[in-house]
Amino acid sequence: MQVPANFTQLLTEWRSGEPQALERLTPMVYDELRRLARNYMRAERNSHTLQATAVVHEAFLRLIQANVAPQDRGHFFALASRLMRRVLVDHAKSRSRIKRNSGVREFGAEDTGEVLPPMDFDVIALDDALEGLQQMEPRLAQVIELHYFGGMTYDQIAAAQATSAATVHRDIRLARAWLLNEIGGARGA
Amino acid sequence: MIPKARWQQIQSLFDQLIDSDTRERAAHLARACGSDMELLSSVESLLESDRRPEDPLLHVIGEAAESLLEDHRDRLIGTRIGPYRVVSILGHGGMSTVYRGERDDVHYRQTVAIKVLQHAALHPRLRNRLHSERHILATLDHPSIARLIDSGDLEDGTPYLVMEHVDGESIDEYCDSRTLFIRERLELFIQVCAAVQYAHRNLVVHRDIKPSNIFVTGEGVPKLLDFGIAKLLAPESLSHTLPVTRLQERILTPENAAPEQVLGRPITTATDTYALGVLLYQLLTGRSPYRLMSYSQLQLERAICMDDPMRPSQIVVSKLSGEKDADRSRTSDRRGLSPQRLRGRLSGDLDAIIAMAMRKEPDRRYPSVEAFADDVNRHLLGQPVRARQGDWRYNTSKFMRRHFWAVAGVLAAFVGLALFAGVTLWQNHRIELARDATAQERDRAQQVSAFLVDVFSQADPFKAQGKDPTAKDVLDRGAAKIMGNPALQPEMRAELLESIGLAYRHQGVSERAIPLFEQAVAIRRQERPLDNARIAVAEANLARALTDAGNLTSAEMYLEQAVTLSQSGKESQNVGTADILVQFGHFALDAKSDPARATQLFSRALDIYHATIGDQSLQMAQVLNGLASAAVWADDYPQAEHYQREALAIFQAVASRNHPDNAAALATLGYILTQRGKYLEAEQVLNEALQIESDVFGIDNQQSAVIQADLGILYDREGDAPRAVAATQAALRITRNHLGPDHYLSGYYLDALANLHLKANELPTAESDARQALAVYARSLPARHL
Repeated sequence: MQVPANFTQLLTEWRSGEPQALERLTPMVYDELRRLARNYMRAERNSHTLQATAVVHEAFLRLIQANVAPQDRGHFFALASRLMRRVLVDHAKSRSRIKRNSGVREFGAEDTGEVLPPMDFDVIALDDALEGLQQMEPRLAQVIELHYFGGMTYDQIAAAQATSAATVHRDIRLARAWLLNEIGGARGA
Repeated sequence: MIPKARWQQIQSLFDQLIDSDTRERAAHLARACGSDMELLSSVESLLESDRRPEDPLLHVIGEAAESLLEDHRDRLIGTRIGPYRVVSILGHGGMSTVYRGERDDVHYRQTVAIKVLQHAALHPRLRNRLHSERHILATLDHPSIARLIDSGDLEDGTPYLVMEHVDGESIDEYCDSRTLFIRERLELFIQVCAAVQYAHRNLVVHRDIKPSNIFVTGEGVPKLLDFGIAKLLAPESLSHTLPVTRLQERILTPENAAPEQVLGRPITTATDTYALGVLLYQLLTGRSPYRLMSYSQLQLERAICMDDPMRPSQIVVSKLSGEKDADRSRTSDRRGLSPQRLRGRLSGDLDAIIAMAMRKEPDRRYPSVEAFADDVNRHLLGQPVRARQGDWRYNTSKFMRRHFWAVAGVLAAFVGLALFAGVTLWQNHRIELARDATAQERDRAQQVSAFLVDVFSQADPFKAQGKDPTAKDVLDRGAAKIMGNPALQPEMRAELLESIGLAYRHQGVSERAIPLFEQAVAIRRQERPLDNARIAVAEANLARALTDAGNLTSAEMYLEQAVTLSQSGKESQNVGTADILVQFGHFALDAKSDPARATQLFSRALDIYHATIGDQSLQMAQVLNGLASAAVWADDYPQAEHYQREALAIFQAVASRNHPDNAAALATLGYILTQRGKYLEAEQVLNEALQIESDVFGIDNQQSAVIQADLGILYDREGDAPRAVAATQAALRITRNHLGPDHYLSGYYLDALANLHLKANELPTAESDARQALAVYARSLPARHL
């Protein structure tokens, strides 16, 4: 296992409001993502985007294979999926800053194997909408985080939250529908 | 936000209905909602979104992950640079990425900012420069200047700088997020000036002052980042040295650049004064003086050199395109005023102070940053400001009248002669081309030539007034003579207009060429029978002038039209079309930065040349040269090498060895080979180029100095210190003879020498070189600025 032993401890520090913990956590997530990506992304060029999602999910699973007492697992998963969301959103924000500032087009990153058209919104818009959901119904926001950023199955989430998989499924559908409406509405305005 | 009770209603209905079929659903929903149409539509739209077949969230996360995984900048995260662990990215610029680094020590923990200069690795010259520069920068010690702590190279040779990490916001964000009043903004600005003044006293010019380079800490202390760093990346450190460099092409004009930076003229402390003027403009108005009226880099550059920015007091009440009323009032809200009050606050003193700092000519701005800050202070104290005394009603048109020709880099004394020679040569070329044409055409070409000779040889009367004729005088005279001669045949008139237009363009004054070319196009279009090839040539000329003037959209339109027209003749594959395609290719590469498109256009031209005039032609060599440039642009050095070798083979077969194109092609190949690490051959090629230069022009020529310096870098890379020193010394000697000991290039080669001696551990020599370099730089700054 490559994941450093102090991952759990840092995550706990981060939760208790220690900002520097995030700075140490971020490189760990990056390391894990890149290590996995080397195997994944090389293999197949089509449906590249979904592969990348799989990389995120597997990295998450590896990171959380740390030694955590069963009663803390719920909290721990929530924190780790929050961390994954932070890493992706921060990166997307820094990218959009470059695009705004440099005016330089970047070359050489053409994806000939891409089969899916690009989405009409990005992870930053999703992050904003999720923030709104968090205000209204924290539980739904967390389920989305666990499922999409953490890649956890309905059963895993149900076990961590002491509820049923069917409830988790319904929650996710409602939350997702709400988020999509919210993002669509914000764009239309 | 939806109220809790309403949300629960929605949730419960949604849960009940998601698995029901559509008909049942509508009925159930209508029953449950009754007259509550709002509830009905909320639930309906949620159910609608739930039916989307794919999962958009999964894809959006995948896209974010993909971009993260493909981002090279992130590769350094988690690695070590020197004693520092790279933790995250703090920001990006055009040329560099700044990382947050941390050093863990037994005793303390240190956070630093590490600036990695990505593109600098492409050119070893920049690295030499960087390393000698840091000695000067490391001496700057001021509470408002972020300290340079260390520097070095990554394993792959990419240089980096380690700087004090400043925790805070950029100055514009700081002012806005705290809704600072105008007075508070001015006080903060004066602190920034103090730091710049300190650096100027130490002979360091910032060169890139802009809001994102000034951070304000939580305690309200401004900190300037990147002092002197811009110098390392400035175009003029390269412009005299390489025939083809992507660096030159890619360097962007910063929004806050002064006219002298755009024009490649010497940078002095007055350049910082200008940028501080722009900064003050931005802090007070929330807008950039030129950004909103220009869309491309060329337009921006043109505006910086030629246009007056809108007065600060005016811009805060103007409605700019694409702006909503809300944007405007937000700007004034953040200064605690209404738009009208803000306008009143800025008009008068502050308008005048900013205008004075932002004057086009360096020597008409405030004589020092200190004087600038002092005037702002006088305004704060309610005392009369200097900017409004004397002839403060300054405008750009006055500047244009007095200085334009100097600005355009025209040396008046030589202009008449050079111009005359140039146009005549061009005409001779036309006559030559007309050899095979009809006698009538040949006669016309000769007539045109005679007319021009007549115009230009009469330039003497100007001298009688004690002034040398300028390009303006001579060309304006020619243009006037053409316009005022109704007897001229339309064809002759078109020909002459094109000649003068071309000459204007060669003098760097394309604005004046545009109307002439436009007229020529109009005349060509009226000719009967229609000569499509001629119209195409006229349009291509017009496109070139429009490109220079930054009007890329029209230029592109004319180019497309010219290509189409030139193909519409009897033969669709003709050399004329290929010539225009080559021009189009350079347009795509240089003006549009689109190497893929350029490659495509060059390839079309190549096919035509191949089918018509054959492979052994100068045209073919030039188009291959173009393909090589496009490949360099796209970072494809192997392909660039391939094309450049082919080009060179042709130059060597069809031109004489001493042809200037041959020497230039060799130097370019030397550059590409150095990039590819093929040092041995790069050396041979550069030596050959050097030999040609000295055979043709003698040893004392600046191009040889450039090649010598290239050799110096090459030897240095190979670890051959004595030869590196010898070559660099040769470059220095030639430059001193040719451009003078006080030219900045002399200082620059001294810098390089200092660096070489430093590496060889010859400290006293290194120090003496560095001191001399410093002295040269000092002399290149006007004395009263010191």
